[in-house]
Amino acid sequence: MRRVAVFGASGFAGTAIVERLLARHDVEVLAIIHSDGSAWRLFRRLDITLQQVDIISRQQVRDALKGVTHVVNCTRGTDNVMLHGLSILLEEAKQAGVQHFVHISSVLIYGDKPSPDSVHETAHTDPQTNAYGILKLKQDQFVQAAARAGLPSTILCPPNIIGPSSYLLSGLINMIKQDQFGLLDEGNTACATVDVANLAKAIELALFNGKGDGTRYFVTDNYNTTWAELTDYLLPLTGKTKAISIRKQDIERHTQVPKVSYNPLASIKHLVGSNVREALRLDPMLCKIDMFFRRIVAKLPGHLEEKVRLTVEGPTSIAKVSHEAPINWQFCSAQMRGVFHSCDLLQKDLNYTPDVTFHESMQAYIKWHNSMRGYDTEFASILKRLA
Amino acid sequence: MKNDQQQFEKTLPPFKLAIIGIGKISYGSHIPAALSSPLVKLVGFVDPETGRAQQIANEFGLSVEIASSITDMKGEVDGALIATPNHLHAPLAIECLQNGMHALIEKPLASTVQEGLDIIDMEKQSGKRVAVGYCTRFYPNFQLLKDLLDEGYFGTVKKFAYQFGTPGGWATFSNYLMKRQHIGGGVLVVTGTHFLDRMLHLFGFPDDIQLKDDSLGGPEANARMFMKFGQGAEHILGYVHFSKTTALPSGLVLDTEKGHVLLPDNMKDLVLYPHDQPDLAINLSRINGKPSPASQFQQQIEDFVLSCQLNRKPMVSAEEGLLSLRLLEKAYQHREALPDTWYEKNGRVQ
Repeated sequence: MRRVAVFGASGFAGTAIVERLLARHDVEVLAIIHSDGSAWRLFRRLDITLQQVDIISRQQVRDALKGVTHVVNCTRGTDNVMLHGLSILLEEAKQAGVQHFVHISSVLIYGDKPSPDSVHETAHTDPQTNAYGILKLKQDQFVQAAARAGLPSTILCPPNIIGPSSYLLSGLINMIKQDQFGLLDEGNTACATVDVANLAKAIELALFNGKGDGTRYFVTDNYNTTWAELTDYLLPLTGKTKAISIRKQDIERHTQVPKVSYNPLASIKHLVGSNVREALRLDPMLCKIDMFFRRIVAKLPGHLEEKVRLTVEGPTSIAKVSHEAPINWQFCSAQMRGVFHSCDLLQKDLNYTPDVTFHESMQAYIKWHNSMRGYDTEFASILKRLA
Repeated sequence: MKNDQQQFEKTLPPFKLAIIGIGKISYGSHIPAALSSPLVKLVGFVDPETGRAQQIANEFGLSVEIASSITDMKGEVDGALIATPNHLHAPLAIECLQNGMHALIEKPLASTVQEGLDIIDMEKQSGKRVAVGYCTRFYPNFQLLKDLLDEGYFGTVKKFAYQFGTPGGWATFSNYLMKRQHIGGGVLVVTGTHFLDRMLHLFGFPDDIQLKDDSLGGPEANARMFMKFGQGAEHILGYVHFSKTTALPSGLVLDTEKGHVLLPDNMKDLVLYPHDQPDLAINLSRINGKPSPASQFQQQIEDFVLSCQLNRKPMVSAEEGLLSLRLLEKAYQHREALPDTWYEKNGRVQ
C-alpha cells in the first residue's frame, strides 16, 4: 500500500489533502505536524496517523519517512524552516526512496507585479521585492535540483486559495467591514483563485500521475474572476453595500519600499533624544550621567538651553490625523497583479479539471461562514452584536 | 470592612504552595501569578520531567524543591495547584488531600462525574479545601453582569448567545493533545468549560441540552450547544459555539427586556444597547468599582489561599466544578453530528 506523508498537515491546504487522501482507502496517510496547537481539525478523527516532527531535525525527518512512498510539502514557517528544513526533507526523501515529492509553491514567485506572459509557467520568475516570493522561489529551485538529482518531484503554484474556512476570504470580510480594503478600477482587475478542494485534487493527481521532472504547474479554478465579483459575494456578510474605491497611485505610494539612507547626524540625534535617554535612565549609573549633563544644560542662558534642546530633539512634530480608516495597502496591491494564471499545462499533463466552480466555492464559503457565526440560527440577531 | 479584612490577611503566614504539572499554563500564568502574590510562598514544582521543571525554576530565579511525584516532596506544603493533563486531575487531587494538602485544580475538576464525586468525598474526609480553576469568574465585567442580573436591572432575560473561536490553540510542552484520549473531550472541555461554568453561575443547570459537534471519533474541534433554562413562558434559550478551527468574535450577548447586553471577553466592558434607543450604546460600570491590578490567575490563587486559611468557600468550589462535569457529561450523552459539508455538489473537501 502507498504511504503518503503530508508535511504541514494542519494548515489549510495540508488538511484538505489529508482529508481527500483519507477518502480513497487505498493509501495510508501520515499527517505530519509541527506542534499540537493547531491540528484540531485532524484530532477529531481517529482514522489518521498523526506525527509531530520538527522539520529542522534531520533525525526526526528520517524517522518519519521510514516506509513512506510519497511526500506532500505544505509547510510554512521561518526562513530557516522553509529553506534549511526543506533541504533536509528533500535529502531524506531521496535517501528513503520516495517515489514522488509534491511541493506547494506560490504565484508570488512571479512577483507582486508579474509580467503579462506569466499567464503561463514558462514566464521568467522574478519575485521582485516580495520577501515571501523570494523564499518560495528559492524553495522551487531546491525542489527542481532534487528532481534533477533523482527525486521525482512536482511543483504546484496556487494563487489565492478560497473555499470554506479560507483565511483570505475571512480576512477580506474584516477589511471590507473596517474600510481597510478598497477596490481598484471599480474592481475590474484580475483575481486568480483556486478552491482548496481543487488544490487538493491537483496535489493528488501530481502525487500519483506526475512526471516527476520538477515541472511547475499553476493550479486554479480555471475561471477568470475579478476582485469586484469576489467582493460582491462577500458584501452581504459585511453589512456594507459597497467597498470603498482606491487609486493605483495611492497603492504605489504606500507600498513602495523606502530607500534606506544612513545619516550619522540623525543617528546621534536619535541617540541623545528623549526616548533613548528615558530608557537609559533606568540604569542608575547612566541616570547619574544624564542628570550631570542636564544640570550643565540647565546652567546655560535661557536661549542657549533652548537652542541645545532644539538641536538635540528637533522641533515638535505633529502628525496629520486622517479621518479615514487605515487601508491595508499591501493587501490591496494584489489587485495590481493583473494576470490570470492558466492551468492549461496541468490539464494537459495531468488531466486536471476543477471539481468545484468558483461560484460553488463562494456559495460554500458563505454557507460555512453563516454556520460558524450562528447566522443560521434563531440567535442571529443577537450574535450580530459580536460582529 | 474591606480594609479590616486586608489588614487581617496581611497577618497570615505565607501559604506554602507547590505547583504540580510544569507545563505551558503553569509557565505562562500560574507561576507568575504565585510569584506576584504577597500571600504565597512558592516551595515546590512536581513534574515527571524534572529537568524541564528545574530549567523553568532557573528561568524565574527560584530555588524551589523539584520532585517527580507528590510523595517525593520532602518539604512542608500547605496546598498544591494541579495543572496537569485532565485525566490526571482526580488521582493527583486525591493524593494531595490524602497527604494533608489543599488543592486548587485547573479546570475541569476531573475527567468524569464519578472522579469528581471521588474528589469531593476525599475533600470531606480530609478536611482540606478544593477549589477549581475557572479563572474567568474573576473578570470584573462578569461580576458586574452577575450583580446586575441578580438585581433585575435588565428585566427578564429571553435568550443569550456566546461564542469563542480561535484557529488552533496553544501548543503544549508535553504534547499531550497528541494523546487524544487524555483530553477527556474536545473543544467543549478545553475551551468551552470556562464559559459553561459562568453560564451555570448565571442561569443554573439547563433543562434541555442539544449538543452538535464535528467529532469523527476523536475530540471535537467545533461544538454548538442549544439549551433551554426553565419551562413555560419564563424560559431562557441559550446558544453557545466553541471552535478550535475558526476565529470568532468572542463574547456573550443577552436579549433582555431592557435591551441587548454585550459582555465581550475583554474583562472590562459591559455594554447595554437599549431597545427604546437603538442608536445608543451604554457602557456600564460601578462608580466606586476599582478593578484589581492583580491578574485573574493571581486573584484565583489568593481566593484559594484565603479559603484555606479562613476556612471559607472558594470562588469555585468542587461542587460547582462537579456541576460543570455533569453538564459536559449530559451534553456528550445527547450529542449529534454537526453538519460539516458545505459544497452543493462535487467538492470532496469541506
